[in-house]
Amino acid sequence: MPQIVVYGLPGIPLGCIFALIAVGLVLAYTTSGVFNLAFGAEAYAAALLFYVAVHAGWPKWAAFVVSVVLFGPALGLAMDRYLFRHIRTASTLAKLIASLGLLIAIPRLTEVIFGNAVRMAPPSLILNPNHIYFHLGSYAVSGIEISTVGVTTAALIVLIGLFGFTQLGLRMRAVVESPRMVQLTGINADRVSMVAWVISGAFASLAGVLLAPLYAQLLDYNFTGLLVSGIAAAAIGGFTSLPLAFAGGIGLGVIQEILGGYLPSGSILSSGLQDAFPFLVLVVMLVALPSLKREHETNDPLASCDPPPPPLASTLRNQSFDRWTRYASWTILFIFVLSVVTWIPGNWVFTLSQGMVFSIIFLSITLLTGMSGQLSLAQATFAGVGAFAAGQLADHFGLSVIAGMFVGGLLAAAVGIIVAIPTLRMGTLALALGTFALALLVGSVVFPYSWAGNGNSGISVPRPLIGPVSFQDDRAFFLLSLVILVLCSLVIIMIRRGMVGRSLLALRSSEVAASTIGIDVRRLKIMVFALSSGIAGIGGALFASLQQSVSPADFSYDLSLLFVVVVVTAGVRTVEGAIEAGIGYYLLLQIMDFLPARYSGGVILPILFGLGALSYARHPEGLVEFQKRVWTERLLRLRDRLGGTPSTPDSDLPDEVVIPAVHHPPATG
Amino acid sequence: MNGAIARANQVTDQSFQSLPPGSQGSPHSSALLELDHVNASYGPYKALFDVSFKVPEGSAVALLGTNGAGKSTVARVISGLVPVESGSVVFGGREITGLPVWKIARAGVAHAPEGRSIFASLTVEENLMLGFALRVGESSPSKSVKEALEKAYAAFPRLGERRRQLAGTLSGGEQRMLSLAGILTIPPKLLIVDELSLGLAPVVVDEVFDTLERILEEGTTMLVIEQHIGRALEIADSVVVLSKGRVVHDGPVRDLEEIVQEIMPRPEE
Repeated sequence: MPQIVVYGLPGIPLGCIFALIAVGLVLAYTTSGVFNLAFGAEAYAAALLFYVAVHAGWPKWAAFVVSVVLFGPALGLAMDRYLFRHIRTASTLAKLIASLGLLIAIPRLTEVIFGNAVRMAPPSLILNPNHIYFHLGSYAVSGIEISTVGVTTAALIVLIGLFGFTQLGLRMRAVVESPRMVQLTGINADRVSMVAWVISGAFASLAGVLLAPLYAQLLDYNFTGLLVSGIAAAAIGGFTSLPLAFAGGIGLGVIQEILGGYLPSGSILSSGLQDAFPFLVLVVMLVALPSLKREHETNDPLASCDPPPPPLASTLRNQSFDRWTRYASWTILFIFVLSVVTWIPGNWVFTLSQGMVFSIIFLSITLLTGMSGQLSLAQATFAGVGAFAAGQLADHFGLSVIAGMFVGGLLAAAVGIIVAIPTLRMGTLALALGTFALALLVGSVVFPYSWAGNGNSGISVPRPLIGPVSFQDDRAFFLLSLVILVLCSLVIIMIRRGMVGRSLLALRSSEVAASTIGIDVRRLKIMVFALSSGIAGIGGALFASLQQSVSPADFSYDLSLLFVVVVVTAGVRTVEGAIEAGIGYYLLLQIMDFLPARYSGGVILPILFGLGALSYARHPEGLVEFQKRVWTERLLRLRDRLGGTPSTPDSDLPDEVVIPAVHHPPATG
Repeated sequence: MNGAIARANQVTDQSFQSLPPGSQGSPHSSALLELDHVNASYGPYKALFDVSFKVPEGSAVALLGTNGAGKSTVARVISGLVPVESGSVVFGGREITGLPVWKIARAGVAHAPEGRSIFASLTVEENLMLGFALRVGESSPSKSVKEALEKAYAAFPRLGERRRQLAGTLSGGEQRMLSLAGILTIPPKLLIVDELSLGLAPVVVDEVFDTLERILEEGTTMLVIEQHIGRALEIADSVVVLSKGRVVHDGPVRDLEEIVQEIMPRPEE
């Protein structure tokens, strides 16, 4: 047998795994309009349930019934009933964020329910995974390979039959575009979407139970890591074709194995291949495939039946009230800073500095997601670029960390531009997926090198020194991060008030309308993306200097996902939101430290913020900001009742003019 | 000053001389559709105030009014797209207030919404199939979806030529034709057409109104919303005029100029 075939053969079962995920993603995307990133989490939860049941002594068929026949569809049903049904006609961004929230919350929820024990050797569903059943030439075919190829093929045939020969597929696609118009033809759109989610949930749980025995240990990381390969395979099918996604998955698996065979073994390149190769495929597909450019986002012609969205918090400002809150917040800030430099214990000062440094990184999300409506899933990676650049420059050239911070920011911005140019043109989904793939690529192929993050051992980064002033002390460093945070916030506020901010508001409302009034949409988007990555880079460098030692694990891809849900829950449209998110998250993390590991902040907070992000479609200003508005209104009403001057919302131009993302005419016809 | 005529010309480009004598709606036939003190709103914006009128079985009622008068909202309230706040909608003797949209559609109400009301990501044929699937054999000679498709293509040959094309790539007029073909091929009990002539070439509008007249004769009841007042009055038996969400006139077809006065009252001088 030629060498290339020997290398390529194990790629077929591997490709089937990619295909299974790709088909699941395409299935959900075409039938529900949601690019369901939570697919990996659903699969993991089902695999975990199967594992727990088998280890509790249940027969395998019973465990299968519980995890695949009952749990998977039930999870799909719940996701439809309580979440996605209500945001069917929301923007791509809103749906992506909702699925992201689930992707983060579900694995941690299972940890709370089933504990975080190490789970070795997940059981296999049908055949003995390691037993060699027959030889194909010189290649030994094991049980896991047979069952993977067999079940994947069977699932694909069932799906194609279901959609090719019944009205179901047609109705599902129609519901994605406009549930109301489907209803007008007499079809119960809710039931159609329910069926779509049940099938998708069953498929995810089947994939999870099948894939689990591939790894020695059952970890959610393994499932989310496979997502990028699945996304790349789905891109080959244009995110719409099931057979092409299937073929793409197999092709990806085979080519990856062949490449792996020829690359020097043990090098960073070959071990990072599984993460790097899908990224290249995805970017090539995004650039080359014309059908992906036309974003799969058609507006519901009957969207105007919805009532207009309520005004955001910042539009309901009241001048006199505003003055009081401003005085109060300045006073609180002053007392806070004074306390930090005098009596607050050291470990809390450190935590607060951490919170402020992350606030800077979060500001990059405010700029990108809140102000321009784009989603990046690589902000932690950009932070890492800044951190390692500052560290290496200080180490090799003795460059001051402050200067290194800005060089790092520039470098991160440059990387951002390189990613933004091919993907931004293709819209929100492409940028999110492209940056997701980038995070995996950089995390496993670039950061491990000694000239970057230096693998697991990491690099050390000094505290800055400006002339005779040293920031070695935590309290001094706190003041430095405060200054940099204020500077970054001012930059964002100035952008928002200036021409760029107004243009971004126009862009977020309607790209087409923005371009008709002379806004260069493409240039504006790339500029904002570069600026956002730059700010993340600066924050990353500051973080490295605070920790004094950082490794690639501090900037792993899953952290980027967490960043997004935390900021979105707190408030992605305002600078205050980012600061509340940063300081709030790290303070809570520290406060919850005394809880047992199973309920620690590292477990509970992702659940809370992940679930909080689910409300993004309804409260795009963030849950915390929304509550602030509710309480402001209550306070104003209370003051009126106590006999103050009747308050009317400030008619002057508020700080932030908020245009609803979708414009609803008050009443048509 | 013939100000009313000048204003009327802004509303309709029809000539008024060709108006048919107003055919009186027969008061004896029972009402197929009845709105009773219907109020509706979009969030904080109230759109309909105590709207009451009847559509007698087998007749055509024209619903007229300026932009923002609430015409489309009335259509949406009947088909269930916009919830009724108070009041009731009775169709065929049965209260349909608060029923889900798809149940109202199955009861025999077909609503052709204003504008581009097609599924852009589906092909022409898929668009038609979706509409026909539940309605074949329901009061029409078509026994199967295939038969209904052929009937639609015969009536609108342009759609037949483009059956495999994505509906979103059709021209505006063709998209309008597509949404009408879905409804007119199998006539419903009650047809609500919203701004039918919008974006259609005058020749096509003629054809479409001919078809409407034919299915009216075959027994379909109609509620016609039109900016093209002349056209609407040609087909209608009676007229309901809305202004700022209220019914300001409900009665038989009268002189056009009078109705124009009703819709766009001359400002106080």
